[in-house]
Amino acid sequence: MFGLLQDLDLEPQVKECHLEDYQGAEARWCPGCGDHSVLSAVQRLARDEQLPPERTVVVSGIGCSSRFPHYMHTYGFHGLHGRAFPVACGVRSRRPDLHMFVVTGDGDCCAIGTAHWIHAIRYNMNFTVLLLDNNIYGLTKMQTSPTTRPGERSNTHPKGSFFAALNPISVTLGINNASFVAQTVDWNPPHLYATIKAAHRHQGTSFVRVLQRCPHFTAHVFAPAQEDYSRMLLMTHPDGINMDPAVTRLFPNRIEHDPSNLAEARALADRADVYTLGLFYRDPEAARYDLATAQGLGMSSESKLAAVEKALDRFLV
Amino acid sequence: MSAPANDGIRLAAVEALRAQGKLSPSIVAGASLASLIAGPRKDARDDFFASLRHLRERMREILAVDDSHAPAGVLPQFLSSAMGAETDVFFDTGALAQALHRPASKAAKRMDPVRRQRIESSLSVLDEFLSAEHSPYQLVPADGVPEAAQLVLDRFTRLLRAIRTARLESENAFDPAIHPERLARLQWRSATADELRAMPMVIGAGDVPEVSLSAMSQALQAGLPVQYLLLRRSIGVDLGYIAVAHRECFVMESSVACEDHLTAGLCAMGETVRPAVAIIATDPLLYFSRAHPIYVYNPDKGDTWAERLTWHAADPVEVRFLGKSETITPAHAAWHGHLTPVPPDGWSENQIPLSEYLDRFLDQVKDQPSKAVPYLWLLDAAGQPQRATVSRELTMICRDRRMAWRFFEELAGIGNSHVEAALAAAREEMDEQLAAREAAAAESGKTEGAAIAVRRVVAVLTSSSRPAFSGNSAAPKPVPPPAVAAPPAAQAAATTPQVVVEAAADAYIDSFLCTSCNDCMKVNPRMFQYNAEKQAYLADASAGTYAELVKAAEGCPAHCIHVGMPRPGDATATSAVLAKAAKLR
Amino acid sequence: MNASALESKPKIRGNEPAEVTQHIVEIVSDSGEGAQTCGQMFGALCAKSGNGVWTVEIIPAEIEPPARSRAGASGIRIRLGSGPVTNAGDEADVAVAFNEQVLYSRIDTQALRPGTIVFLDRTWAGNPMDSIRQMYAEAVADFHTRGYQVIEVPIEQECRKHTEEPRKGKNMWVLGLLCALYDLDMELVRDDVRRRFARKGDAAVLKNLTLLDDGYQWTLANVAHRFHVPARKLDKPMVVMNGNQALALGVMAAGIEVCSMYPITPATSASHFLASSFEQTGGIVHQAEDEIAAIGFAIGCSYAGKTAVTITSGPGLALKTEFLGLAVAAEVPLVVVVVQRGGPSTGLPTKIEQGDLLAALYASPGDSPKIVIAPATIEECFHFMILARNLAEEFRGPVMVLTDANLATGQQPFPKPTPKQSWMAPPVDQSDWEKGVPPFAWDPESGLSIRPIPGQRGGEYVLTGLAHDEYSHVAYESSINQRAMDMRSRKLAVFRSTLKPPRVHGDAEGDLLVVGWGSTLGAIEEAVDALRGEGLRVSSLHLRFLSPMEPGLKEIFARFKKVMTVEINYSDTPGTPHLTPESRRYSQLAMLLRAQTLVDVDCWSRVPGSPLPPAMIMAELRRRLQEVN
Repeated sequence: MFGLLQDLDLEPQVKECHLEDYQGAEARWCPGCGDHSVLSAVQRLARDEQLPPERTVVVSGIGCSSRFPHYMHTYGFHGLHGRAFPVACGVRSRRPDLHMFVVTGDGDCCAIGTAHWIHAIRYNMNFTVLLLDNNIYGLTKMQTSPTTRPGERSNTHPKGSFFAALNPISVTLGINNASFVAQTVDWNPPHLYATIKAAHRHQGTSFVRVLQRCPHFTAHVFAPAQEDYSRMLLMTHPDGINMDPAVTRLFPNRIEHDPSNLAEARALADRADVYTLGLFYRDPEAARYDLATAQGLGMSSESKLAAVEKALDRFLV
Repeated sequence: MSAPANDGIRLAAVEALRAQGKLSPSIVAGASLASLIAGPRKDARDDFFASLRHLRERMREILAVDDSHAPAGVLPQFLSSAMGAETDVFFDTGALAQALHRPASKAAKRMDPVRRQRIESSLSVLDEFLSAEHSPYQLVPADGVPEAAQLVLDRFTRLLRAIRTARLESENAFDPAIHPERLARLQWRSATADELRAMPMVIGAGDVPEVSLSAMSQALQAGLPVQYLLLRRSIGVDLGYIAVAHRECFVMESSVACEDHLTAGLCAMGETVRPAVAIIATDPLLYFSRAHPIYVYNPDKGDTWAERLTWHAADPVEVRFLGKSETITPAHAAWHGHLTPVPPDGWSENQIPLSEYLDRFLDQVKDQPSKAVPYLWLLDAAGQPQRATVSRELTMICRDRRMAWRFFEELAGIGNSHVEAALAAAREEMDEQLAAREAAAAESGKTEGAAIAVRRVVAVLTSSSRPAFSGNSAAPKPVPPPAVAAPPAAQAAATTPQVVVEAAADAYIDSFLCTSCNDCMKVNPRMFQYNAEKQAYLADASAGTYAELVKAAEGCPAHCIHVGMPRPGDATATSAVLAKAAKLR
Repeated sequence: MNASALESKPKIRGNEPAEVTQHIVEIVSDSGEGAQTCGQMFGALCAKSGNGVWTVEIIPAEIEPPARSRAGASGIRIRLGSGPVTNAGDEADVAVAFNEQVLYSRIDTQALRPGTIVFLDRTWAGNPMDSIRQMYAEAVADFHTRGYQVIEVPIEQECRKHTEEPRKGKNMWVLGLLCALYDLDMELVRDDVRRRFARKGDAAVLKNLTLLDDGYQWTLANVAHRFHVPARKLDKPMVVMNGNQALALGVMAAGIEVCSMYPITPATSASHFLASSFEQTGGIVHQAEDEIAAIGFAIGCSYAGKTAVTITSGPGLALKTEFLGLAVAAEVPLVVVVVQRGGPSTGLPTKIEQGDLLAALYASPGDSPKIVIAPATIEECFHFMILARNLAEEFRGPVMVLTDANLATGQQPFPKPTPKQSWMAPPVDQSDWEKGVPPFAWDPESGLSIRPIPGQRGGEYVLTGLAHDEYSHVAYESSINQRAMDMRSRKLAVFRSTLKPPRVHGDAEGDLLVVGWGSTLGAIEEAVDALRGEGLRVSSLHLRFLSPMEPGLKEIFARFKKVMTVEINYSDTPGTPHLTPESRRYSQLAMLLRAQTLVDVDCWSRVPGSPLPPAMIMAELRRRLQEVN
């Protein structure tokens, strides 16, 4: 009886956005690069969720993957090497209305930007982090990255890397207040898409590591898993990453994992024999710093003026 | 009703029950009832005011931003004020103003004056509304409801126009070609339920017998978001049923003797934005005697009677005094002038308690005269119980109330005559079928048929969307438990419906697996193209060679290109290429 | 020789207080004995009575240094004057010391002169420990030899009459002493004590009032000295605060909503003040994980439409330079406050220096033109924040505000500012972006452009630190970089064209022009005034705008025989080994002025870790004047 007559003509009409509306400059990544896969997944997600392009911000650092914002037709911030997180936190601090993605690489996030990565996870501000991890520095031409496997040769370690590879998932799961930690691969777009979608919907910092090949430098690292799905272990759970069962069945190795179980998540993350995909951990209750930093937003300028006056009065002699 | 026939007699039950009636003054006072109704709307109202303040702030911001684009924003005097107290000491503010006025885009960003005027006028409506005092409701005499509602709704409509305009403006979505005309047509009915809930309520209060039926009916029929709060002090017309007959109004009847029901009902009344009527019996005897039905008819709950009507079943109440007990009847509520005391020497077998009389005679034999005379217990001046016979008129009123009660019960699904008829018919049909089946079973003497029947029943009971059992298995297959450990790859492969089950002759791409990596485009951009999802499909297999197809499939990181067999005469399909292709079909 | 002593010869008039135009008092104690509270109350009371005041705290490096040690001296210097007081002055006229050892720390920094009246707690003379009694006796003898007028006062004994904890009561007693010494209106003082201790209850108020009165009465009865610093009648309400508080209040008055910082001395106290008060104006303080993140966060806010401020000091500035370059290249409005301290490296964390001027201008890689301004007074610390936010937004880039430890910790009364709506940042522009206008629509004349802010429909662009064209597209053509650099530099040129030439303090021509910047304003002008009083032809000029530099300097310099800067940073002293005129390293402002004006600007600069006192400047100027003539 009521509401039926509501005059929808007077609601602000939002223009429906198509995939092209999210496409920026033509991607200059190499053909075969996994970054393309992530880009088109994010564009599809933006289209499916109808994110207004003017209210969407993609923040990145420096590196191949950090070119990402240029290829999105949204607002973007292609900043400094390793410094995507502080900028993203700053943007988020006073703009709860924006949809935000942070795109970073294994050098950007896990080497030069490590401090910010750790603290961004602690802050748990609402945005989706996509760590595009190809185990190598690509843009600067094949230097060892923190996630490079020991023994892999590079231009900086021609005899092979000395170090055990850093595991970004294990590290993130070790940080207090982590609230969403997932892993996916670029070569399975349905899982990639479903993971990014769940990450986007999560309120808080969603950390998604995308394993992806660099066709020039690390194609051999990921080829076995691309060719043989049994080298991957898919975590399934009703609260996890949900996708078409037909795609789930492509993964012969599956394990039921409750993403609220942190201890099990850490054990799964540490497994070295397979790439474990899916949602490791989610804590929707984790404290969100962006809720605190938004304090005072919308205060009228009259009350601000009165408050300044009052603050000055404290110093009257 | 007339004065008591005899001042010396008292209906003790009445006193006892009236004392039980919890006639707390807070409940009875109209304003308190009104605030009970308004209570549930507090959140909606607070949210509404918060959203208005937010909207007002947005409008102010838009104007402030426009001001900062204004030429005045770079006038020397403005600058010397904006840049702090010492600007003039350090700056040639004229030169500064000139420099800052330079960017061409700045001046061009000035808002269209028509738009500015529109924002300012809706801002002033918002301001006016927010600075006014707001009572959550207006209590008016019941007959004054339509006029009062009209005033409130007119003001509300004006506010709605300002809200709609402001909302469009805050998204910069106002289209002068469309919206002015639509705004002009806007009326209060376009408001959302939450907005209507935030509107000041118009509550008409009065006593049942005094309400003008036609005025109320008009308001109810028009669907005005108004509330009637009517008090019933004695037995009278079934106003509730008349209100229910408007079909889409919220109606409740309750009693002050039934406080929980009353409170819950009034809260529900506060939730609805439909026209609403509450009829409240102020005499608890009307409730205890079932002379006044207790129910909530809430069309928000659904479209059927079962969903809409919530019946408050009340057990017949007995009172006990001086060792005698008696069921309360409507007569107790309306006994004045209708009782004739009978001294103990006049008591006879023909005199039976009124409630029993109603049960035994009126229901069974309708109007048929009988020798029985109904009576009630009274106390005489000395405090001794004595019988009083009940007049025919009062007895008929009691009967009418009882029928009204049953009528509402039936509407609420209790003792529903249609249901009973349907049940009887179904029972009969079932009996017939059973009889026939028994006969047939006896005929064939086989158990196989029964087994099939059982299977069918099981199938129906366990049915999901797909057939759950196959022909040769009697029981449905149990659902496989979820995989907790990784099954061996080989077994998984066997049970997994792979995308490719058999090698297809024609080449194709599993587009949904494509990573959009541009690798195949590099091989042949005519053969491979992107679909609407920006995932590759085989646009034209004939646009390139089989060798190219195989090369692209080999390079494809997602392994989603299936090469099929070469077209006849393709010279590139050498044995080496075919050997590679064998793995890629 | 003491510059101010010239003007402040006491005029003895029998029992009447001696009238002086200015006086310097120091109170020193062990840490935790409340000398600073006492001094602040005394300073505020003098300001309230209409005196000019400058107070500066004496802060030990450790939080709980050992008692009775030179390194542990904690205290405050209060300089009073009949007119406005612009600096901490020279040697103290009066010192109150809670023990003799803490006074030595002041003697070490040449804070006392022969004739300084020293009030010393004589309780130590009766200490049970022989060593302490002996140290005390030796020190008193030494103080006499140094020419101080030592007055031994039984501070602790007197306090014990009224409190179990004399350590916490001595400061009130001393306040009473000072009130008697300087002839203050005791009713005013009692009111202040009542107000300040009201929260702690009646007992606390009573105890403090008793201590105050006891100190007052004891002094009247036992001390012959009385001073009176005539005051002006106040015609408007005055506030007293330090430079960091002024900065913080300026941030609030400018409508800035975010201060992003990492703890660093001496900048942190500004953030402390904001942390406690910012929420009242709807702002937040973000304590970042490091200096880099602090500026990155601020840039993120600014990019999203809320121009933010980040507050740091030298080492923090060093870490921020990469982001600063990004803010310049991508034209992100941003306010960066640098409260300078002693460098290089960790340097002198709590001490004053003006050593970050060149770092502020040039530390980013490549060419990164930016606006650099330096307030010279505490009042300017407030107003320059409003200016800085506006300049950052209008000129679309970072604005650096250089202050120093002297301004940060010094306190001065100034007329209470009247905040205005127009000082506040306008709301974030969310109107639709005009079609076809690129994100860097540089006006060819001025290089100025308006920026799109996320949320503005049609303004979608990708900010980048890579060389870019007006669409913010990465530059692949050689001409693009040249044009973009031109445009960014042009903004400074047009900004400079809007500035007035600086005002010369003193005659517009003469033998010597002294150029300064930042917190040295008061000391330089006091020295110049004193010399001019002697008939010497010296003037001064103080720069607030350092990048771009204020116009007309060359013309002004031409009217003086010699131009020199006075700065608190390093320069080679002429005549030292191996130094030739070509190899001499000049102080930072001098270097800039020489490059900009091609005038042979000389310099005198020192890095003592403390403000340059007027007398020291005077002595140097006198020497230079002799060279000229």
